[in-house]
Amino acid sequence: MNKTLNINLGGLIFHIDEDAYRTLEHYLSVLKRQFANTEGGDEIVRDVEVRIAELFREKTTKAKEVISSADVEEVIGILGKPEDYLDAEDETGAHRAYEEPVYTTRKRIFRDPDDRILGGVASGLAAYFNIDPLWMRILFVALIFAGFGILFYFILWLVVPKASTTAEKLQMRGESVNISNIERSIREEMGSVGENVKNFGKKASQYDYRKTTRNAGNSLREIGDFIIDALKLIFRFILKLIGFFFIFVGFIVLFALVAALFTGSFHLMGSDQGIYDLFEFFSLVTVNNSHYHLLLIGLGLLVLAPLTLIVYLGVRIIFKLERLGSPARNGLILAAVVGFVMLLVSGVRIATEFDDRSFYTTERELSVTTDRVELHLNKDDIYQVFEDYDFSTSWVQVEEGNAFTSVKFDIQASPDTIMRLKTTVEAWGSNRRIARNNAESVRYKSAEVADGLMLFSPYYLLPKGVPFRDQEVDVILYLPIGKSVYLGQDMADIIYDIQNVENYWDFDMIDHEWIMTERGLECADCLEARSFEEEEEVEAEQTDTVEEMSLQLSATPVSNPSSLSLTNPSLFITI
Amino acid sequence: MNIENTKAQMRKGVLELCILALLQRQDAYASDIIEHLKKARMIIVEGTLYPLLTRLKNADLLAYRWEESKSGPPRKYYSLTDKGETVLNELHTTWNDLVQAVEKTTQKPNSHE
Repeated sequence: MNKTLNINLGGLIFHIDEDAYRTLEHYLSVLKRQFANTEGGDEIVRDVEVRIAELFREKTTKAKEVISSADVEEVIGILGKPEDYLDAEDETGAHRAYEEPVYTTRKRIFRDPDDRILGGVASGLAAYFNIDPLWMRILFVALIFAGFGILFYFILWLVVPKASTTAEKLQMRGESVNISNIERSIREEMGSVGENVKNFGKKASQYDYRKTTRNAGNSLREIGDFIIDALKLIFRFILKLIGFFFIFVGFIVLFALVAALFTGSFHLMGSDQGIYDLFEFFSLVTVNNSHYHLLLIGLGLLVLAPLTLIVYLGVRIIFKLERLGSPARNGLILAAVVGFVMLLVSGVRIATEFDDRSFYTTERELSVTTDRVELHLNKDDIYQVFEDYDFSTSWVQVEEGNAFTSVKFDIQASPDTIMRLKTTVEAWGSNRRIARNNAESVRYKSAEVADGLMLFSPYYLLPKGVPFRDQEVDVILYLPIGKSVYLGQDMADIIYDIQNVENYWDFDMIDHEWIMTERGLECADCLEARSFEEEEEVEAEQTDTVEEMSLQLSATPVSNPSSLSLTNPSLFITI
Repeated sequence: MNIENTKAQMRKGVLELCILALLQRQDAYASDIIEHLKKARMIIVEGTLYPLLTRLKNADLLAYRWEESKSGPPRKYYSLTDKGETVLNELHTTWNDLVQAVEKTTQKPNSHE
C-alpha cells in the first residue's frame, strides 16, 4: 500500500505516489535554483512543468491513475538532467548561473536521519569530516566519560538541522547537487526503504502514517505521535545506555586482565600480585604441567566466553549489529560449560592433593653459653623482597624458588638445662607419605650468628619444582629455667601466642627481656607500674561507658513526653 | 575525450537553426517542436529545448500566443518573427558554408577521420 498525493502540475491534477512526488519535487527545485538567475527562468520551469504534465497524462489511464516513481524517472529521463538544460546556453547568459554558489557544492553540517543511533549527530559530523561514523561515535562515547559528552551531543542535536531532503543529504556529504547524484541517492534510498519494508514492515508503515497526518494537518495526532516518538527515543536512549554499560563493564574487566598480564600490577585476592603470579600460583598448586594447563584453559574459557557475550551484547545494542548467530552463541555457551567442567576437574584434582596432612620435625641442641640470648630476624635478601612489599604479601617469587611467610615462633620451657630448637614443618599431600615429602622439601633457616645472638627467617623457601601444599613452619625454642631471651622488635613478625606469666599479647612482648621461671616466662624488664596503668585504663573505660549510658537513660524519658505534648497536642484529643 | 559529448555539441550548435526552420514552416507548440526534433534525432533529452526557446523568444526571434486546447490547459504556440526570419536566413547561409567547409576538410586523402 502506498500513499498518494494530489498535485496541480501545469493546470492538471495528478495522483502521485509519495516517493514519486519527492523525486519530482527535487527535480523541479533543482531546476528552479539553476535558472534562478537566468532571464525568463521562471518561464522555463513553467514550460517544463507543462511538458511534464503532458507526459504524465500520456502515462495515466482509467486503469492506472497514479503516477509512480518509475513514471517520474522515465519522464526525467525524457527531459534530461538539470545540467543538460544548460549546455545549449550561450556563454553570456545562463552560463554564469551555472557558477552560482547556490549550485556549487558547499558542504554543510546536517544530522543524518538514515544512519542514526540517537539523533544522527555523529553520522552527520562524520559525513562532514568525511570519516567513518564509528569514529565519531567512539569520540562521543569518550567525551561522555570526559564529562561533557552528553550535553555536547544534545546541544548539537538541537542546533544542527536534519538533512531531510535529498539535496540536503547530498550537501551533507559534500556531493554536488545535480540530478544524477540525486537520482543515485534516491535509488539508494528506495533500496533501503524496500529493505526496511521487508524487515520492519510495521515501523515503515508507522512512519508513513505519521507523514500523512502531518499533511492532513491533524495537529492533535501530531502531538500524540510526537509524544510516542519522544518516548521511543527515551526508551532507545536507555537501551543505548545499557549497551554502553555492558561494553563498559566488559572492557573494564578485559582491560584489567590485559593490564595485569603486561604490568603485573593487578590487585588479586587482596595482595599485590600480578596475573603472572596467579599463573605461578596455579603451577604451584597443580600436580603437573597438563593439570596446570587444564586449570588455566578452563579458567580462561569460563571467564572469556561470558565476557565476549557481554561485550557483544553491548555493541549490538549500540551499533545495531545483527543478533549473534545461534552457532556462535551456542559455541560460546559450550566454551563456558567446557571451561567450567575443566575447572571443576582440576579443582577436584587439587583437592585430592590436600587430602592428608603430615609433618616433619628436626630438633637440635644449641651451644649457647650465655644466660641471655638475643633473638632477631634474619634480614637477608629475600627478607628485603618482603619488605619491598611492606609485608602485605605472604608469598614472593625469588630466584631460588618461592618464599612464604607461614612461620610461627614459640618459646617453651626446656625440660632440662639444654637449650633446644625444634622445627616442625607441616604439609598437605594426597597421602601421608607424600605430605611428609612435601614437608621435607621445605627449607627453613635459623642460625646462631654469635654466642648469645640468634637469627630467624620470617619465611620458608620452597625450592623450584616443589609444589605448594600449604606448608607451615613451627619453630619452638626450648628455654631452660633461669635463662633469658631478649625478643627483638622485628620478631613481632613471627612470634605466635607465646605463653607468659604476664599474659602479654605477642606484640607487647617484643623489645623486652624474658626469663624462664618455674611458673613460666616472666618479663625481666617490664615496669611493674605498667600493669597498674593498664588496669586503671580499663577501669576508666568502664566508668566512661556507664556514665554515657546513664546520660542516655536520663535523657530519653525527659525529652519524649514533652516533645509529644508540644508538637502534637491534638493526638490526645482525637484518641 | 568524450565522443558522445562532441556529438551532442555538434547537434546543439545547429539546434537553433532547426527550431527556427521548423517554425518557419508552421507555428507550433513546444511538444510539437520536440516531437519533430526527436524524430530527426536532433535532441536526446527534451530539457535542452526549453531554455533555448525562452532565449530565442527573449531575443525577439520568436513570439508566442496562447491557444485553447481540446484536451487540457491552453498551449503556448510559438511563431517566427521577422527578426527571426532574418536570423534564420543568416544561419542557413552559415550552415551551408559550414557543410562545404567540412566536406572540403574531411575529403582530404590523408585524413583518417
